[in-house]
Formats: sequence, C-alpha cells, structure tokens
Amino acid sequence: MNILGIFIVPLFGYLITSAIWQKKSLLENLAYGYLIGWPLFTLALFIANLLGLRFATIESSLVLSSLLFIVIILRFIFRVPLNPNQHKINFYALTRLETVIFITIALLLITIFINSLYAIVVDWDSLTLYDFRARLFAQYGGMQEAIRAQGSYFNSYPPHTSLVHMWYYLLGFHSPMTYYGGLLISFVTAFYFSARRVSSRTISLLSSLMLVLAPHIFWHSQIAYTNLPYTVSLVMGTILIVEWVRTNKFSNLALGALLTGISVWIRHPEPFWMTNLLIVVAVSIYKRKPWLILPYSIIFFPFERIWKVFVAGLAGASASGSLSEVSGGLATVTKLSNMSVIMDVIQYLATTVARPYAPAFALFGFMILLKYLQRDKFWVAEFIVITNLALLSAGTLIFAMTQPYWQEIPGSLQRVSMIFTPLILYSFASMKRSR
Amino acid sequence: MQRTISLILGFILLTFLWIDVFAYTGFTQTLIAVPGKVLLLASILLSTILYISPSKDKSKSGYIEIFAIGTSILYLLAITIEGLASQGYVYTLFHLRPESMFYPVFASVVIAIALSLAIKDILPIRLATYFLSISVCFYLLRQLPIVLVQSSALVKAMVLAPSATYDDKMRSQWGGFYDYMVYLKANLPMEGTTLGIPPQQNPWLLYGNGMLVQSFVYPTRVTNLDATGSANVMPEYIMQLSDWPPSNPALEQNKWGLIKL
Repeated sequence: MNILGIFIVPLFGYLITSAIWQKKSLLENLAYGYLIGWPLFTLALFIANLLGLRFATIESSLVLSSLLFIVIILRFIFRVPLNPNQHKINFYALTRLETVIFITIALLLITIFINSLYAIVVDWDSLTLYDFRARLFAQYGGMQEAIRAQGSYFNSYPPHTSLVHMWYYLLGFHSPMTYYGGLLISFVTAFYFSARRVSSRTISLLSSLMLVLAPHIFWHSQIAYTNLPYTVSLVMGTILIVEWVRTNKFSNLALGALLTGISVWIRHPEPFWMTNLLIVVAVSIYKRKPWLILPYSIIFFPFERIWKVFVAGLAGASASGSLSEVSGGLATVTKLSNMSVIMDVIQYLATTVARPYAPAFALFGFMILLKYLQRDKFWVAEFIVITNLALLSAGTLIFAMTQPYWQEIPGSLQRVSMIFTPLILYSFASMKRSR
Repeated sequence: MQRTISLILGFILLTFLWIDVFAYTGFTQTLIAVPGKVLLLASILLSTILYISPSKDKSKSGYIEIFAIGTSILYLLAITIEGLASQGYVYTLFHLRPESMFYPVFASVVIAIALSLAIKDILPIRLATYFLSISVCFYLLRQLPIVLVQSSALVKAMVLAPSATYDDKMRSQWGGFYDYMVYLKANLPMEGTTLGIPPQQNPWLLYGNGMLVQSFVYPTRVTNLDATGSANVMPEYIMQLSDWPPSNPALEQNKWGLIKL
C-alpha cells in the first residue's frame, strides 16, 4: 500500500500538466507531472509545517490528499476531461539507427532505475545535510531539531530533497533513491518531446541519448544530491521559456516560470534564474506585451522569496531583496585591484569547468559557427547558455575575491555547471540542418 | 592525386595510432618521437583535406565506415568488459589496451565522416557541418565509455551482492569508519551527551569531520578537540583512535574505542 504514496505524488503533478497541456501526450505530461508534482508537494509540506502541522504519516498524507482534491475540483470546475491524450509510438516506423539509439537509451535508463531500487544514501553531503535533515524531520515531526543540530548549515539549501526523503521514510521505505532514478527518466522523456517539437526524430533521439550520456547527469541520478533535481527543473523551465519565445503559448511561459521557481526551491544560491527573468522581460517588451512579466513574476517570485524569508526569520532579520546579490556582487567587483585574480579564475574555470565539459563545449562552439554561417535568426537558447556562463564566471570571481578557500571545492563548481550540457544539447537539437 | 595521398597518409597515421593499443600508451612516441595527440590532430587535418577534395568515387567509404563502426563497437565492448571484470582483464585475454583505443577509434571515425558526409552547400557551411559532426562523434566516444564503466560498476555491485544489507552497502562505501560509527552509536548513551573528536586536519580529516560524525551518532553532540586531545570544556566522551593522543590501556589492542571521562 505504501508504494501508492510514492505514485500519487507524480500523479498529482500529472493532473496539473494534463489539464494545462491537453493536447500533449500522456508520456510527456507524466514526465512533467513528476518534475512539478514532487516539488509542489514538498513546498506544501513545508508551508503546512510552518502553519503547525507535524511531519508525520497521517498529516503529510492529509496534505497530499488536499492537493489532489484541489486539483480534481479545479479540473471539475473548468470541465477538463480526465481521459489522457494517447499518442501512439509506432516502433515499426523507427529507422535502424533510431532503433539502436532508442534501445541504448532504454537500457541505460533501465539500469539506472534498477540500481535506484538497490542503492541507499551513502554520499557525503546527503549524509550530513539532506538525508540527515530528512531523518530528523521524520523522527521529531518538525524542523526545530534539525535546525538545532545543524545550525547555520541547515540554512544553506531549501529542504526540498530532505522532504522527499522524509516522505519515503514516513511511508516505511529504507531508501529514497528511486526518486532520483525517476527524475532522470522524466528528464530524458520531457527533453525528448521538447527536442522533437523542433527537430527530426533521429536528432531528438540522438540529443536525448547524448543527454543520458552526460557523465555528471548520469552519476547524479545515483546519488542523493540536490544538483540533479535543480538542473532538471532549471533546464526544463528554460526550455519552456524558449518554446514560449518561439510559439507565444502562454502555458509554456507559465510552466516555465513554475519550473524556474521550483529550481530555486531546490537550490537557492545559484543565480541562473536571473537569465530566464531577463529573457522574459526582454522578449515581453520586444513583443510589445510587457504585461506578460506580471504572470511570470506572480508564479516565480513566491518560490524565490519563501526560503529567503524563512531563513531571515530564523535569524530575526529581514529578507534581502531578490536582486540584492547582483548589487552586492557588482560592489565587490568594483573593488578588484589585483588583476592576477582574474587570471587565476580563468585558469580555475578552464580546469574545473571547461575540461570536464569539453565535449559539450566543443559541440557548442561548432554549433555557434554553423548557426552564424547559416544566418540563423533564433539565438535565444545560445544567448541563455552564454549569459549563464558569464554568471558562472562572475560568481567565481566574486567568490575568489571574498573567500580565501575558493579553490578548495572544485567539485562544487563542476556540479553547478551541470546545467550547460542539457542546454547545449537542446540548442543543438533545435538548430537548422544543412542537406 | 591529392585525395589518394591523403588516404595513404591517413592509413599510415591510423597504423601508428593502433600500435599503442597492442603495445602500451606512448609506445609509438618512443618509436617515432611524435605524441599520439599530434598524430590524432594530423588525422583530423588529413580528413579535412579528404573532405574538401572533390571526388566522385565513393566506393572506398563503405569499407572505412564499416571499419570505423566495428572498431567503435569493439572499443565500447572492451571498456564494458573491463568495467565488469577488472582493470587489465581485456589485455590479458585479447592483448588489447582499451584505455589506448580512443585515439585510433576517433581517428577512424573522423576519416569515415570525411569520406561519407555529403552536404550540398557553400564550403564554409560544409566545413562547419563537418566539424559539428566530428564534435558529435567526439562527444559520444568520450562520454559513452564513462557511462558504460559507471553502469558496469552498478550492475556488478548488484550482481555480486544482490541481498546486501544496509550495513553492507554502507561498509562498502565508508569501510571501517562506518563500523566505528555503528560502534559509537551502540555504546554512547541514548540521552544527549557530547563526544570529543580529533581536530579536522591530517590525518583525521574523516574522523574529525564534526558534521559527518554527528549524522551517525545523533542525538550525541560532537565537539572537536585539539591535536593534544584537550579543549576548554571537556566532553563526557572521547573517540579512541589508534593514532590520536587519548589512550585507554584497556583498549590498547583495539584500533578504536570510546573513552568515558
């Protein structure tokens, strides 16, 4: 019976996505349902706890049931049919190459999923922070014990994955690793359908295979860190915003805002959400529809605010503004007097980011060249990659200027850079092809 | 003529690159004083010449394509077998070094692309498409082995110990440290108390990590002592490590234990 508790969460997400995207396939809506169902559930658990509800099996089940009930009622009010839109996949129509790619993807994803049934939480950060918090939540029914035990370490990241783990433990499971396996499967599925809308089946399958083959992403589907959930949410949110720019569909903008907001609910320190906001502001103004910034902000900013306000509340202070890091960062950079720091940072980025992600960046370089030669006019995805690279470099420079130990955690910078490969692959899938 | 010379040179380069696979990485360099990287770059340059040189003869490309696909599959198989068995296993069986295969396999693929890619466009676009295709192959050949090794390791772990317990899995990751944490948890009182651990510095980076130790022994609090084993406020318990100042004669034979002050 307990396994139902695990299946209902993505089902809740599916009920939302299938109501918004009634023409999309069952598989795609299920994939997006997984990506938004879990974070919305953990956010609801967090808010319910702040309102006084304990983290316990019955209370958490009540929260989930309420969410389901609300969605079903809303579907009923708006008369959204429950029958899923079936898009049949004709395997006989696949070419030999497509079959090989499809089987390779399937085998790799099956391996990941079987392993996630076997694996347990063993990695450093998860033991000391994410999973430790989850065990304390489940044991003590609230956040106070974890806040006492972990001190300021507790504030470093929002508790999304901890609440996912907690839900598994409350249901009696010994390991929450299937969440991460399911996340990769959903990511690849959602990515494939997005790529398919802008390219041929062969290219979509090829870029999906290349996504599974990104070693950092593959590895992170087997460990309980927050980087994969963050990457998946941010990348799919970004892709939806790019689709919005291309198609003008409001649903893409809304879900893009939601997934970008979710990414901030999973990992707060990274600044990449600013690029999506910049795109939305610039494109809305360019399209002479500036009012579109409002719905984006209404959906996105509550996610951005909630953890900041909570942490500030713990310290008895007021929360800093959403863009205060930018002004703070700029103030730091203006104090730059020693130019050798810049060279050190460039060297550090080359070793820590460029080298491990060389295959993706090589692809990006030639793609840019080809797009330029083809006089392609749609550069949104590439602009996002370049802006995010600039943000990463600026962030590293600020970190180098303020923290003496800045070179001691290259693994952390590498994990933050996980977002680039899928964005580059989407950009690759969506480019025009010569014949 | 230019095309034929390029093909012959390409064949020679490939031969040199393959020698390393049957000998050892760097063997070719000792023979001809040219590193493998340079030979690979030369292959790419030659392939580019092949690609842009006009030819109506496509008969040779079929064989080279089959060779490139065949060697790529062989490379991936060798990597997977090595991942499932142990390092050196493929060399012992087939006298092939999978770790040296990337350069020759990639060079073969590049030559195959040069001979088979047909784009009807202006030269700059043809060249950019050609290099984009090479970068896709580079991506696949670079990343696929890494993921295959990871998958092989996962499958191997599951097959070797399908019924491994939680403790077994933790032990395989953390070794003796996990056993010690279990021991501490069992021997510390249930009520809140404080455990003194070494400072987080060499050689106690693991045992001196307060957050990590606390996650195992909670609700016991953890405090770092200094290298001599003292602190301003001494805790109720201290870790007994074989190489740390605090000593307990009763536990002298053990590598680790727990001292109650």
